[in-house]
Amino acid sequence: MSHAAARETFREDIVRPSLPREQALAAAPDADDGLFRVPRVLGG
Amino acid sequence: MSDTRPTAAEIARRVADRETSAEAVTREHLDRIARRDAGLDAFLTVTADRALAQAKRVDAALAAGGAAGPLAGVPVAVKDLLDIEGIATTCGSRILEGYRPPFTATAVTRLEAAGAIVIGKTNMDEFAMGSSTENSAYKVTRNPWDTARVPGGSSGGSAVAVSTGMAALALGTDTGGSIRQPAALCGVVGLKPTYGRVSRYGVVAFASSLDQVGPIGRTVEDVALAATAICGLDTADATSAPVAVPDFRAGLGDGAVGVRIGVPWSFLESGVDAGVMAAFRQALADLEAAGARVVEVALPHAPHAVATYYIVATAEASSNLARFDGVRYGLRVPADDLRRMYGETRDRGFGAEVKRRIILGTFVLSAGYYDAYYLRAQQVRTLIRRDFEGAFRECDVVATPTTPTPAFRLGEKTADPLQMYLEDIFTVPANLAGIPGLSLPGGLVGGLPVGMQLLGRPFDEATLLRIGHAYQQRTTHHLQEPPQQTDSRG
Repeated sequence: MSHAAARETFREDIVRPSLPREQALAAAPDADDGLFRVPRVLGG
Repeated sequence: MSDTRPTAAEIARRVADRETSAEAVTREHLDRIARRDAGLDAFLTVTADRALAQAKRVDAALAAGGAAGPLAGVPVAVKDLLDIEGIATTCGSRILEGYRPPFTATAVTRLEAAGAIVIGKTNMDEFAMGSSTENSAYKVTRNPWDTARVPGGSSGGSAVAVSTGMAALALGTDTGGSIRQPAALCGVVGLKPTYGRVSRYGVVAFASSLDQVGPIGRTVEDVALAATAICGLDTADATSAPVAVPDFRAGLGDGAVGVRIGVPWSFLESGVDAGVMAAFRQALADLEAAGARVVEVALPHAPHAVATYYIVATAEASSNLARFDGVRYGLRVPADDLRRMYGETRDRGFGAEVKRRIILGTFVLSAGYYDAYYLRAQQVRTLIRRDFEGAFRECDVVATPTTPTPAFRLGEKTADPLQMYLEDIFTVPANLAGIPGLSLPGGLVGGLPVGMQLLGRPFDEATLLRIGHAYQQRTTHHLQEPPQQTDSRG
């Protein structure tokens, strides 16, 4: 019955296209050089 | 069209027969939105250009001799929790203001493949957390039957759009009743399919083990058409079920003769409005007249469903909503260091109810409390599921009122979250058990619509729909229209 009795199923691990990097970064408040930019993480 | 609120089935037939065009139907519905939505505020975004372009594609395909899809030219409103590529998805939250997703939800893709036309995105409680649509960060949606009252939630905008004929169909999501409860309070039909029946790809997650996408329409036939289009396995959602999907409309004529309807009378004993209970008893009598048999069933753990739900759902929400951190999309409140940026972004971006649930969910998952709350809730969840398994040995569907009361007044329950949560008492058990539920218009109480809910065995939406159709063949509640007046604010 639905999730409670869900059987485990497996598929072949196949490489498939995913979201292009430019699109993945397009909605970011701040991105640079193909990366998400965030404020300083470590003290300095 | 002469009919002011044509059904999806009627529109699709006329478009297929070339009596009208998808473009003409789309323009009529856009006009109705322009006339009626000002006082109701069902829509967050009207996608007029995209809708007309899609309609022209449907018309061109038909003109070229292509086969008409089962929803050819049918205007559909989509809850603003489902992504459509390039169209803003806000989830009713400031934290996603301006976000335009790079992909489209599978449920939307499938509706469009069937010929449907998405005409807009509808208002909702922020991240689907609420039962009145008052938790939207953008606007308050009003009930077209009485604009001083709530439309229900969280898919309130979708229910209002269908109730008023601004859309023939709508998509909602239902985590604890968010399709069925607003459908009931607005006098329309809402189906929460079995967990796993409809892909959640492209649906912003609230509580991943409970969330399910489903259709809202004015007739069971329309809901059956939409369900046939959107249900089925999708490899993009690992929880979508590899279970065959019947043509739900084809089975509608099978009637209700001999069907056993189980009523959990002891669960309904307390807190149900007298008018709602009278309407429910009449609906049972109507179903008996259609050949069904009413039997009593027991759901002994159902009274614990709301408490269980607000542990499971908040725990999952606290995890799912961690992704809104000002890094990848949506709002960022600038700050000098990362932790402050996270904190200030989430403080500014989330509304009070969302924060309340994130805090509750974080608490129930925290070290030292996990066993007492989350683990215990999952155990009770299993007991609730077993209650239904037992009930379905005695009956084919379980019936309850959809909600304990008709639509309440705007502001009436916002000060008391527990009162708001109890609104879901009859709807949350189905989400916890993963079973399908259908809310049907069950008459008016004091001029306000109330719903009858039918709950079914896993993946047996077909039985819910054929009983619902038999009910609508004998009753006229679903044909009643809300008054045309749209604004009581003066």
